[in-house]
Amino acid sequence: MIEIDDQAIDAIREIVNIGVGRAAGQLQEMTGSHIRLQIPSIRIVPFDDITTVGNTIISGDTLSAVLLNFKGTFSGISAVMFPPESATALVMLLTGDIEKSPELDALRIEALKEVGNIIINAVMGSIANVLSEHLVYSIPTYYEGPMINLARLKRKTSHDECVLLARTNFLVEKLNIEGDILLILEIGSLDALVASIERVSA
Amino acid sequence: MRIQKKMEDTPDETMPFGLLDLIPNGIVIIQPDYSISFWNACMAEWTGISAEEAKGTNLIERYPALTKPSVFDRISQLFEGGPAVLFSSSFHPHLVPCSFPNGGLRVEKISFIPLHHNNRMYALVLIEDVSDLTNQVKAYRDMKNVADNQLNDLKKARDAIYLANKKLNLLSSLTRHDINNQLTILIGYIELIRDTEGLDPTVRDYLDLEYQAAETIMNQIQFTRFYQDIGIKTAMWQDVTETIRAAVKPLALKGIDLTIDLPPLEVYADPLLQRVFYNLVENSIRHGERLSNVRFSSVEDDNGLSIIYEDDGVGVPYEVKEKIFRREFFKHTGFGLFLSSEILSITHISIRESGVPGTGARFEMLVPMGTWRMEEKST
Repeated sequence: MIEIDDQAIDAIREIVNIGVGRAAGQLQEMTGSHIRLQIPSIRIVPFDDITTVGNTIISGDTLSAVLLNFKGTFSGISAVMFPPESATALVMLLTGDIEKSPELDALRIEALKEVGNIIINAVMGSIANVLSEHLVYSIPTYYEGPMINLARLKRKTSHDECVLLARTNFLVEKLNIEGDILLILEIGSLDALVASIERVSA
Repeated sequence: MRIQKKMEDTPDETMPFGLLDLIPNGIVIIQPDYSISFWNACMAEWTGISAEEAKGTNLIERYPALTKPSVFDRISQLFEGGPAVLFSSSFHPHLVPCSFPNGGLRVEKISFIPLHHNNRMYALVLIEDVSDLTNQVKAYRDMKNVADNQLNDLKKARDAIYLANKKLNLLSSLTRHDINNQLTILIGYIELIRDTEGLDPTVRDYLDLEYQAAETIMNQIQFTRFYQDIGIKTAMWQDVTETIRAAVKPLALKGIDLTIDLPPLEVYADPLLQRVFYNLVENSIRHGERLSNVRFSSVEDDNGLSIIYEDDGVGVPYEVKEKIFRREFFKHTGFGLFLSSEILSITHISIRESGVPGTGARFEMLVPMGTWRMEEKST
């Protein structure tokens, strides 16, 4: 297991916190409801274990997620994930649809992709800006299913490859809509990220 | 702001964008100042603005909806190095209005994708026409709403029927109880009169007939108790072997061998299935006379699966093979076979007697396809 000192963890937590804080602001503006944000948890775990270190959203049977791959000085995946009921409730709220038994159909998935796009762009834009780093991004994609399958889909090298997992849980108060903002960073990028943070801090 | 005025900054003519004219989606390529470098054939068709006319003009000046802060701020982040920006049709159906040939606006999904070429930054604006998809999804939602409403009505009707049935059963139960009480009194008095010394034999004969009639009424009342429960509870999957074992438990099988030769089988049947198996075995004990063996087995064929029940008693005479399943035959079968047939028919299971008189009774219960299943054997 790769070790990382507390100072670096704190620095990464702070940078992630700035990003998710901005994303929460965007979400608050969209929903008109206060967003309760948890402090980001930062862990270094084998890729295959990322489903076991999170909360019920990550370990649940299924989740609705918007994903964005990024490459550059540091590389990884940024994602916003919802339990399907929360995803549906959020889209229904934002589109003003009223239905007795709503489901995430093609149009609502597109709407959720836009919401996820706004949140992730706020996170990544903020991090890249603060660190003055140029990153190359993929087109955002939507995923629905268990996290374990997603982890397998995105696995690039070996099963036991370690990644840095930054997870922030948020709750749209009054509406009981919850979600996770995830940042999965390839471990090879860690030194570059820490160096970048130190450079900015200095 | 200059509206639709040619920009002085000429587009990069070396960009190999010609292929994008073949794409059946609107594609526009803009520079960081929002000036249009490329406008594909599809966009020309959808907007009626030719590529020559569009090139060099400013996209956000041409389409004011793009200047809304909630839209513009996001697009400008892209030119600051941010990721692609998506605008869904649910929130922005006509951000860049494109018409159908016969009028009316297309419903659009728009993506702004960062593009780097020759050390210059651009944004590829992809405009997808999702009008058909939108109409189909909306039609599906309408259909689903109608189906949901109908389902809701059906649930309400089912609940109302269930409640009415419950009340009828309660009424039936109370009435049965009252009739039984009165019958007990009636039978008691008949017995008292019959025991009277010096009673006229003709009167005694009449009293015997009255006594029999009262007992028949009591049996019929008893039958209604079982019959009222048929179909009340939802049918369910039941393990046949376990159900048979539970059914025969209260029966005295002294000197009678029970064989259950069945695979791990489940059938979808009314919860009173146990009563069917009870009735069959009880019927054998009651009428088999020289009974020593009863056996359950199964046969699978193209029609489905038959559960076979056989005994080695005297069997059922040919002339009553069908009659035994009728209600009027209760004197001989105690309603059991009529009741069994009714219970099975709830999930379309049929029953018939196919034994050879003198060698034993044989009942075949045909379970249709889809209402039986076998547990897979683990290897």
